[in-house]
Amino acid sequence: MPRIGPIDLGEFPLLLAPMEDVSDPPFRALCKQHGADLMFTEFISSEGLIRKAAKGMKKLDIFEQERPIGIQLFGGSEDAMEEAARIAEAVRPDLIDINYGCPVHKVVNKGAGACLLQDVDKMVRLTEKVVKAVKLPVTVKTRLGWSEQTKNIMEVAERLQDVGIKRSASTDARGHSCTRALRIGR
Amino acid sequence: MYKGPADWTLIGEVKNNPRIHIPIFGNGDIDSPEKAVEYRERYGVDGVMIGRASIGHPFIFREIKHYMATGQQLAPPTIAERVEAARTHLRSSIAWKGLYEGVVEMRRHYGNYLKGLPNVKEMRLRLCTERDPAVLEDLLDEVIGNYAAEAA
Repeated sequence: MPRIGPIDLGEFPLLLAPMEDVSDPPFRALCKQHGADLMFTEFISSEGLIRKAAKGMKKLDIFEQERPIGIQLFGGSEDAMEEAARIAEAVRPDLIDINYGCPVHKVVNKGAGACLLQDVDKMVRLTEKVVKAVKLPVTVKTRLGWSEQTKNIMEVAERLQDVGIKRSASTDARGHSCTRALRIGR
Repeated sequence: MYKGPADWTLIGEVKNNPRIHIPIFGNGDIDSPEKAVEYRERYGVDGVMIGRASIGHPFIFREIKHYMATGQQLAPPTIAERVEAARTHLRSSIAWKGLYEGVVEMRRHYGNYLKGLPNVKEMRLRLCTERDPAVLEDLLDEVIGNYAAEAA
């Protein structure tokens, strides 16, 4: 039975993905009502959070009835991620999740999201900083690799496990972790 | 960045690596209870993450659970249930985001909740141009009324 730190998720849990502009509290309430076992906030920019940007702060809104819930952070700076993780921990989520999967330009250009898959050493350092910064379990959401030719998930999973992550999660198998709601449904 | 169908084989290999003891959850392409069960059996993952398939269809979680527990498909949600989900979503959007943003940001969701209903285009247009929450609620009632009449 999968556990993440102290969180018992039951047999074969169903997780709601962190989706920008979708996984907000109103939508999460519906998913919880219909059986989601673990949910995540939309991804939150660590750079925004450490500057107390309103957009990021609003995304820290989590509610008792949503538990267990993870706050997802992204960023390419180890210091910013460390500080953002502490800010996120203060609102008392059940875990902190790091986004290593988002392939969109505005994220990758800042050395964040899936970009880190191109520099596993940095990914490991960044993860370790976050793990050490907080008492909460830390999980990651990543993908198989940066490109079809560089699928390095096996190395990534082993090395991140070694620095203390609790779930090498939801290994997104493809290019969709940042699909926007407006483009869905066509 | 590569596209195309999700490659779950490698997720399964990570899960089955004897060095790995943390939970591994698979994500990508799961859009039905059958697929969730099939991938569970084939790749051995500890659970699955659902993204797009839940948009406009939060019922997917209970559908998968029912299928895992019984091997039977749960009956799909009725039109009234789908519309009530949209109504709940609208109300909590307004409560959390405020009147203006709550109404406007809800517009991207109506099409997903009403997907597949015949002649839904005009209704979606009305829902997506209306600003008054009371009128929006009336419109949702109208959807239920229309399809109840059609089903009768």
